[in-house]
Amino acid sequence: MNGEVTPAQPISDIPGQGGDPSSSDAESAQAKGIVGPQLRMAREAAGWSVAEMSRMLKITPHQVEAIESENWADLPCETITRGFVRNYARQLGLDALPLMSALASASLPQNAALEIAAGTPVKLGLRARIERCDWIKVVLGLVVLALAIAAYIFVPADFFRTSFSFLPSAEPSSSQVEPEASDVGEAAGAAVSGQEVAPAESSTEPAIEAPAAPVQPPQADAPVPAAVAPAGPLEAAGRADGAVVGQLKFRFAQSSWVEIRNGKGEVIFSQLNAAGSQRVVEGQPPFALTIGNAGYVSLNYNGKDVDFSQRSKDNVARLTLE
Amino acid sequence: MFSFLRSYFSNDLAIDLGTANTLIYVRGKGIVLDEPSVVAIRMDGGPNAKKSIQAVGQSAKEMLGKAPGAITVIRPMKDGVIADFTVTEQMLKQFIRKVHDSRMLSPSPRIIICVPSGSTQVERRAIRESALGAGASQVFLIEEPMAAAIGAGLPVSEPTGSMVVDIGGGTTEVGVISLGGMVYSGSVRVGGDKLDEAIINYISRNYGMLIGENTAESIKKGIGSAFPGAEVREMEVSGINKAEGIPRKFTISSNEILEALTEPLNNVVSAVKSALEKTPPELGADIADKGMVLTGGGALLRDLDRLLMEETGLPVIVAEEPLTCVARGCGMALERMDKLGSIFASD
Repeated sequence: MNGEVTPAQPISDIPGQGGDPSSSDAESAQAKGIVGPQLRMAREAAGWSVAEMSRMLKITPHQVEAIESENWADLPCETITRGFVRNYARQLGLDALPLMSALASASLPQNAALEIAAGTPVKLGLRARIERCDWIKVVLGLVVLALAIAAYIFVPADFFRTSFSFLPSAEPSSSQVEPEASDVGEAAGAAVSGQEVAPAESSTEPAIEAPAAPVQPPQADAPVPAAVAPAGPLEAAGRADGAVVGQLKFRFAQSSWVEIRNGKGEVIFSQLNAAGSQRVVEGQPPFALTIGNAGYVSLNYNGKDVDFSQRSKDNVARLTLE
Repeated sequence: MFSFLRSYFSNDLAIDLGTANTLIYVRGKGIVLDEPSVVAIRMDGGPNAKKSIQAVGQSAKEMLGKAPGAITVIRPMKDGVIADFTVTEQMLKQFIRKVHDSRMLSPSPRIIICVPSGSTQVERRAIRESALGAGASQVFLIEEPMAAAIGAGLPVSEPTGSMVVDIGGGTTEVGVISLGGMVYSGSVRVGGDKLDEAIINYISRNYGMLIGENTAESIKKGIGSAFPGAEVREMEVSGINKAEGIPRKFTISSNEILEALTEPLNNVVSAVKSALEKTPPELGADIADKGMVLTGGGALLRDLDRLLMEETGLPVIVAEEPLTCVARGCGMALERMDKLGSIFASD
């Protein structure tokens, strides 16, 4: 604290040049605030002018004078000012540490606070909002999935049929079913009849079918008959020619899909049958049958009941009738 | 909405993921980790063959050039960006584990991580993914010149031009900043590593001796110089004589190292001059008044500031504690991250 730097002090005695930096020097500089004067004395002792020092430090003569006169307000911010002083001290061979300590107590222009003026676009908020939206989407997705699973588990299978039976399209009517059946019949040349088949419609079928089928002579061994019989008596009308040798009668307690192929592998009957309906299919055996929902279907083949419960797997029966 | 609660429970981190060193700043605590970016990986054979991390940081760096065949010492960062994604992720994970309390209730930290201004989108994404993989909940990127300027104490948010030159291990970043944004940024892939490499090549060429990276680094720190000075210093160095294949000692002088470093230093000077050419005139006037600030480990190279002063004719200042400027700048951004959107970089 009592150490003093005299103006006549030679360069070699200045801390950093000739001796070790001492704490007393630092305290002295700090106490008396003589950073500028010390630098000026060292410069003068070295025989350099302000202009020469300005040229060496690449700063303006005005800034050199401001440092020497400790006119800190004329210098840039604290970081820069401290850097200038450090460079100045190094140029003169002085130890910069005591000077830096002294500057710490000087009233240097403070560095501006790190604040961005309001209204600057902030990306952080934008990013956070995007993430929040993502979470909302995820939660909504999970809710929808949970509702779908609950509906699958708790809503009975015939809910929509029973609840919306008043709608005309809720259950397929006979008029919609029949053309499908007749289409199949056309392709396979088989005779199909259903209990709900309207007579008017079915009566038109033979007219359509007749050309497609081989000539219907009164011969006994006509190869393929083609006739759709009215379902009323559950008897095949075209059987009089004796060509049809196999008759399948189905009763459906619940809706069931049935597919029948003849011996050539052609599909002669394939459709979904409504619950409570009956079907009669006639054709040439053998028949390969695939019956869905087999537990609710009863089959009569040529007057004999067929038990296919042993041939059912997963409630689908596959069997061949000779 | 819950930022207050988050800041109470979580220790957000700012990471200077450098080529040479990784520094981590923890909110409210300051810089808590400063380790070399080096990972040592052990590959075990036999029935329990597996890869495991043998060491990370300083202990791994000490193995550099001394490890047996089963241990591979990797520097996963190269030229400021990730060279080995998996190893970088593991290294970050280890460092974060060291500094972040993994309490059950504490949420994953938000991380600010710095990237070179010249890095590509792919490189930035790699750094982001790496930090996310290491356990971050959110990752924000900040360009290194911006972080360095904040850490050096430059008035980045003022309407005045500030120029910063950050010479790191892999890259040299030059940035001109005003009003909280980068007006110009340039990056050259020359840094401390290239200086070491230049020393190794020089000694190999002129002395016929092979030296390692650590030796080259110690030569650079000991007698390395960027500008010819009155004092010539010498250093005794050990290496392998290429002709004899025998370890030998020899003495090298600071003037020779200066000669060795000329080429990479010229690249740095060119980058600075290029930045000055492209700086708008108004900001150029500010820079002529205030000069430029050097940060990063390269700023510690003796008389580098003098070289730049002579080459540009502008005042050049070495920041106080230049090695930690970027980490401190990241930390300051971390402390105010909710109010400083414009200083962050996009992908």
